Amino acid sequence: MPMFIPAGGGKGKMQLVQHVDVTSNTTSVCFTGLDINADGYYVLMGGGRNETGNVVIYKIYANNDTTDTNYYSQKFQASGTSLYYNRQNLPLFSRVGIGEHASFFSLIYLDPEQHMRSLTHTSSGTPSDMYLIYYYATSVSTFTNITRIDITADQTDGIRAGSWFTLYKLVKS
Amino acid sequence: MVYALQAGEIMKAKRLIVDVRTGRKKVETFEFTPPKAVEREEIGVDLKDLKRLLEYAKTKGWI
Repeated sequence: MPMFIPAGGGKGKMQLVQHVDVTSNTTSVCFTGLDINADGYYVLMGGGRNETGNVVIYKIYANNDTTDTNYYSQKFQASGTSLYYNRQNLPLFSRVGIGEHASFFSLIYLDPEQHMRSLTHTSSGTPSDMYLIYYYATSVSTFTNITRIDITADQTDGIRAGSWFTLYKLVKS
Repeated sequence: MVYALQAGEIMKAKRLIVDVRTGRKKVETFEFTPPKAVEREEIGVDLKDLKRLLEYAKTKGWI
C-alpha cells in the first residue's frame, strides 16, 4: 500500500532516460538530445572512485555553455561537526576526494525565470569518516530549453573507468 | 603532482557523448584547460573549528 498518495491522484512518474557505464577514463560525460520542456525535471544519479591523486571536482554545464563564470554555486559540506560553506562563480556539481568513492543525486530543472538549476547531494568518504556535500548550482544565462547537459571533471580523465551515471526524467503526467 | 603540471595548460581530453534519443555513445576529444589552483573550488574554513581547537588546547594545558 502506498505510504503517500499525492493530491494529483497518483499521476506523474519517474522514467529512465539513459544509463551510462564509463568503461575508460574520460574528462566529461555529455547527454544530448534532451528536452526538459517535454520531460519536466531530470534526476541524475552517479558515482565513482577517484584514483587520480588529486581531488576531482565535477562541474555541470547546460546547452554547451562551458564558461565557468556563467554559473554560480553554493556549497554546504558537513563532516562530523565541521561545516564548510561558500558561494563561488563556478558551476560546481560534485566532488570526489583522493582515493575515495563518491555518489551523488541531483535534481536538474529550469526555474520559473528560465535559469538552469541543479540541486546535488553527494556522499563520500569511508563509513567512519563519511561526509556530505550539497552543491546547488544555477546558470546566470536563461534558456528556453535544456537539450544538453555536460558533467565535466576539473582534472583530465577525472571521471574514471567504473564510474556510472543514470539519468531519469520526472514527468508530471 | 599531476595537477600542478596540468594547471593552465591546454590539453586534449576525452568526452563521452550519449544521445539519449538513440542511445548511441561516441567519444570525442576537446581542448581542456585544467584550472589553476586559485580557479578551483575554495576550501572554506569554519572559525568555530578554530575556536574549538583553541578550547581543546586549553583543556590539555597546551596553551
